[in-house]
Amino acid sequence: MQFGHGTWDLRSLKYARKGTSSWPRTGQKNLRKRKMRNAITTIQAVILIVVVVAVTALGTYAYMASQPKAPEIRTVRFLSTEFVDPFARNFMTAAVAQFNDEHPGVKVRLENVAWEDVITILQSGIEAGNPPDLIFTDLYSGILYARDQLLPVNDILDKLGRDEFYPGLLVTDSKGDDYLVPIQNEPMALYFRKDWFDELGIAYPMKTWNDLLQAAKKLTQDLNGDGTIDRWGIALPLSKEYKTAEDIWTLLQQSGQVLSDDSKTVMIDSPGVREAFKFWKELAQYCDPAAINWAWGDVRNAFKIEKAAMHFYQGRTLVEIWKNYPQLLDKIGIQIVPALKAEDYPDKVRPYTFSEGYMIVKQSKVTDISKEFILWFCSNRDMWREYMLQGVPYHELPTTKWLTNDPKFLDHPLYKLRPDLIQALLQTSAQSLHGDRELANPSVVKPIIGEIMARPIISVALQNYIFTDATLDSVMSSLVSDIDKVLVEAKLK
Amino acid sequence: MKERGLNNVLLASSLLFLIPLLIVPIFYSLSVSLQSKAALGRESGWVGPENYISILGNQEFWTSLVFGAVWSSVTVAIQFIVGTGIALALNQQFKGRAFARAFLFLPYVIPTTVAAGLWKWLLHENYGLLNYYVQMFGIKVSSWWNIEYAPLSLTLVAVWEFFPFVTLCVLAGLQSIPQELYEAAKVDGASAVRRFIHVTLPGLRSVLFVALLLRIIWMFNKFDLPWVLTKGGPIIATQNLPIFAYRLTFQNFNMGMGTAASNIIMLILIVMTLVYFRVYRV
Repeated sequence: MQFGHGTWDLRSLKYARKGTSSWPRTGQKNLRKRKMRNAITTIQAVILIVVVVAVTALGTYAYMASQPKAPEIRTVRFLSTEFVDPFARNFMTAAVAQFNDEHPGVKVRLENVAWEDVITILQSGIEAGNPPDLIFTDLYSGILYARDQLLPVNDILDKLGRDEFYPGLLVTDSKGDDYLVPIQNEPMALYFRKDWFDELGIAYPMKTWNDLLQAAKKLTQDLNGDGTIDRWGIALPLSKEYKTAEDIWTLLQQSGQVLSDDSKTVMIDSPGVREAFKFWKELAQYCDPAAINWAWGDVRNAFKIEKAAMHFYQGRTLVEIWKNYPQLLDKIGIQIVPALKAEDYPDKVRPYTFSEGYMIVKQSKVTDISKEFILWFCSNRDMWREYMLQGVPYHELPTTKWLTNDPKFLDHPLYKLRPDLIQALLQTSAQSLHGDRELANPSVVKPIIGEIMARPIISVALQNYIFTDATLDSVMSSLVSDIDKVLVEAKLK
Repeated sequence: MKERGLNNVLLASSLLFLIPLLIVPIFYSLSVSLQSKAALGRESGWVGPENYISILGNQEFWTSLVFGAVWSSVTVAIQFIVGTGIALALNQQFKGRAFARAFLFLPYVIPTTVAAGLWKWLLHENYGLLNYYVQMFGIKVSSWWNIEYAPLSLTLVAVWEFFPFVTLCVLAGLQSIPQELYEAAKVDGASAVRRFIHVTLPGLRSVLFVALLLRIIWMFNKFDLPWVLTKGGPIIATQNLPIFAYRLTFQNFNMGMGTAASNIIMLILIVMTLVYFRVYRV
């Protein structure tokens, strides 16, 4: 660097005066010139690259702008977790195609995603400002409503006839706004092996939870005397998955409540709920210890391969037995889940469910088309009925009275084989209570419960209590604290 | 000089892509981690280092860190032992060597989720082949995925899937060791073990350095395998830091905390890499 009568070498910090022996020689002057030239070449090259990229981009834009515009088509991104079964998927794909044909200028684009992935996709989409417009799912109605992501659908329910829907299956907030158009219901029922019950002289239906516990105890047997249990009384899901909380929920609701009516106070730590936890731990003794990793498929499989005498499930087990294990069809029974008191069984039992259906995302710019699609689908009762029977018949149960009483809904080979089982499922559905409503006061919807259920809070608490040395006091304390955090995050307290 | 000019041009053009793809997301993630950013449209606000303090004070974080560090170390060690042994065997001349090389590389080319699904069934308590054969010897295991055995099962699957990468690296490295060195060592009376220690290992030094670094980073960062197999359970018996971060973000719906956890993972790996390079230079 030139300075005064000499130059600073910036690397060695040496100063050389002009004319002295340390003055840069001609070779070093040429070196500086070459470095300058290289730097200029580099800058020129970078400028050239930027100019080329910019010209290409502008040219492409100009070309695209000059092309004749295609007629504008308004697209609805329809995200669903419920068309995983091939028949249901094909049916809904055809239904969507029919809607698109009948409505020029609009396009509903169906995207099927795995149930466990939907909340991740929704989160990412909402954060990116690109959420789906229309959603068909179950559990997450509460969490989406609690975070103000849903558009009210009162007008749709009114047009379809609100009184047709079972009131316990609607998601209606304190202002009377609905956020879900329930299309199908998957209530929890109790499956059992009638033949084994008959063998051991165990009475059924099991009216109380204690009846169920005693039955599970008797049915847990080492059949060949080798010291290993060959048949377990019950298959319970005991993993971190939501299914674990799903199974115990009805008992929890009968024993106590999770939140106060205004959703501001955690009330789960009560004597009744503690008894429910103790009961479940005792019941787990009559379940395969491998259940620590069991979720939906595992409990069904344990029942189907005759390793367990009972399990809680919706209609899917029945359909799978009908299709793949027909030899078991005459050996099984289905009943409503037990009650705490015998006198409450069966009419006062409210089995757990999360009704599933359409929800419209508030951020959507095509809410009118979403509403039109929902009305189009639901007004066509033949289509609605056919959809319910296509996928997994009688796993998806009616949310409306008209469908429950529709003789065509019962015109199915499975119904003809075991009408008593289907009637048990229908009764379960008619009496079921949406998970966002608590038994203590079913008229109040607490959508934050959906958020609590979406997190593995209750499942992990049960795992800790059943499989570790954690005391009930410490488990309850953690449970209350975890639920409290959800309420704080939701700004409910 | 012309070369240097060309180098600068190529470097500048690649930086044009790297800056938006690498630097911008890192800064964005730092920004999110300093906010109380909840998912699904909840309001967010500046909280400074509160997320980091909360995570570092969370016992579950330390449990996940310890499990992740131990699991990745043990798994990588076994991968190297198995992988190197197989590479040495595959370096010998024998009939069907080409087929053996291709076959033994199969686990690595199977997608991780497919491999996890496969092993989930192989280790199933009711349907699994492993339990079937193990019971023939009178060993009864109620479940390969309970608290006791889940970490072991996870290690088995990870070793099976990723040892071929080590095999490939070592095999490539072995080709570069001159045969004359082995011959000279033989002439000097060195045994097979001494030839391995004094000829093979030094010759593989740079290959092993790179392979070890990559494997440790990848195993420490592993999400897909433990998630598909155990989801970090039972309870948190197989939960590592990536699963911990995922749960914070997508199950607790707290993007701020989840991003902070991810940044802590990044920091741990950067420090580890710097220490590793330092040790290697020594």
